[in-house]
Amino acid sequence: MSVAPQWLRTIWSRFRAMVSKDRLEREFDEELTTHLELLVDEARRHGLSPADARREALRRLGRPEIIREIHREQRGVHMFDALAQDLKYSVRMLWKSPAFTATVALSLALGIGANTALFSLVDDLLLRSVPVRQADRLVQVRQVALALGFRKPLDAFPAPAFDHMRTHNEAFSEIVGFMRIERPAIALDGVAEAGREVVQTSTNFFDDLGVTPRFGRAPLSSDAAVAVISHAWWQTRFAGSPNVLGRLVSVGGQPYEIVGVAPPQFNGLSIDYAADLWISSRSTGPLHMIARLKPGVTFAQAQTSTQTILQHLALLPPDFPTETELLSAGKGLSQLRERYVRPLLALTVLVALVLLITCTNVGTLLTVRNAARRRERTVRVALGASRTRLLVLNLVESLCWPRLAALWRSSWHVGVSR
Amino acid sequence: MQSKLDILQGTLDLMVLRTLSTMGALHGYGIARRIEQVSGDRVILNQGTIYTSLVRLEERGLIRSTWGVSENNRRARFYSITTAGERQLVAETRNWERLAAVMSRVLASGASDE
Repeated sequence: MSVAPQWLRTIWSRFRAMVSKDRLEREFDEELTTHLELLVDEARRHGLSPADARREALRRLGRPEIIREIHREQRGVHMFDALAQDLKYSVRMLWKSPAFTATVALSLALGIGANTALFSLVDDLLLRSVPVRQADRLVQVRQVALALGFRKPLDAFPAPAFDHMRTHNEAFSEIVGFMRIERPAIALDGVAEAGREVVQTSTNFFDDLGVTPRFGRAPLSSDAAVAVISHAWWQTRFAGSPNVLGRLVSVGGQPYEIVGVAPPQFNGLSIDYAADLWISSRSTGPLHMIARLKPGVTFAQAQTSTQTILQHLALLPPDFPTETELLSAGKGLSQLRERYVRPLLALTVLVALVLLITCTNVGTLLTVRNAARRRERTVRVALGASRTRLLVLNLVESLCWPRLAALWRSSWHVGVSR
Repeated sequence: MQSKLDILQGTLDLMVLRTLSTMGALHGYGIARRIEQVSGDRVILNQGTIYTSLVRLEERGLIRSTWGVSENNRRARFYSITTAGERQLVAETRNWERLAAVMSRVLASGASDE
């Protein structure tokens, strides 16, 4: 005995009915014919003439066309049939008025396309978190000098400042540093590699961020000069070979031993570029300071305590007042974002409005066309189409537009983003 | 009784189940014929309506069907009752008897009051 619940059975049987529609109908025809013939035989046994027997049989069975129609409707074949018909009809209508179709699809494609393109940007820049442990607790520490009404931010700190912060602060559980190297001279096996992004990091960068290498290990504080290679570069340059570990890569004339491969989704803490190589050595130049708030410590508390420590360090000339700034870093650092947040948001609203206008335009066009098709609708009603049936047809037709536009848009979008 | 009985949808289902439980596998004609005979030809169906009942019962897993050959040597679908169907038959029969008992009591009380 089967344990499938009843509604599941019904859906399954309807689904089967849809898939093997022709076979089911043929079989039912056959079943009904047998039934009719048996009734004819019975009537013949009672002594009726062949013609009378058939008439009598039909009277007792009921009209086969009606029985067949009821059967089809009951099997649910009917509903899917009707939908398929509507779809076919809608597509035919699209073909028949190509200019109209192109106009509507193009305006929708532009409206939707602009929105998705902009949304991917907003998503990257404003919404997505960097793939590290407790990304929402990360802050960037900056010091700002206020001079003559200008704000001059200092966002790179020398190694001693890091040491001092690590030993004296009570607000942060971990502090890491990184800095992009401008136009690095990279060489692998004596061959120069152009156009790669290299990031100088503090030795605890991977461990304290909570980024576990895909392969190999993270740098240790005891390492003299080691590097972690990005997953993407590892794939293209070393074809994903494990032999990459132990290879030497030279950056600015200094050799670094590759000890690990970063996980594929990790591109560094800045979202303005994707890092290819993270180098780690004991002595470094100034680095951006990224810290993770201890549990329970608020932004404001961390800000006050950092202010005190940094002032004590006196990194900026003493004649200007300074203030400490903590920026949320969980979504990655970005100069683009700082500069473009407002315009980007404004643009988002604008593009949404464009889509709204597009919809209004298309709506108007469709209304006009529907008015022009009143004749057709009248004929349909006269032929016995129900209100629901007409509504469904209209809906199916309307749904064709966004599908078409989306198709157009995605091909266009893929073209743009590649 | 003057007019033939009009039958309710659920009633037909119950009659079909009863018939299949008693007679074993039957085709649509056989079921319809048997119901007419047992009822003393008082229940007359448009025999075609038996198929709405058969589809419904099969969708609910109360009966199953296989193809076979009829007595006039044509391909016919033979229906038989399932275990779930037997259980449903017992439950529905009990329901029906209770309903019938209640109905006759109510109708009888009306008659004695007059």
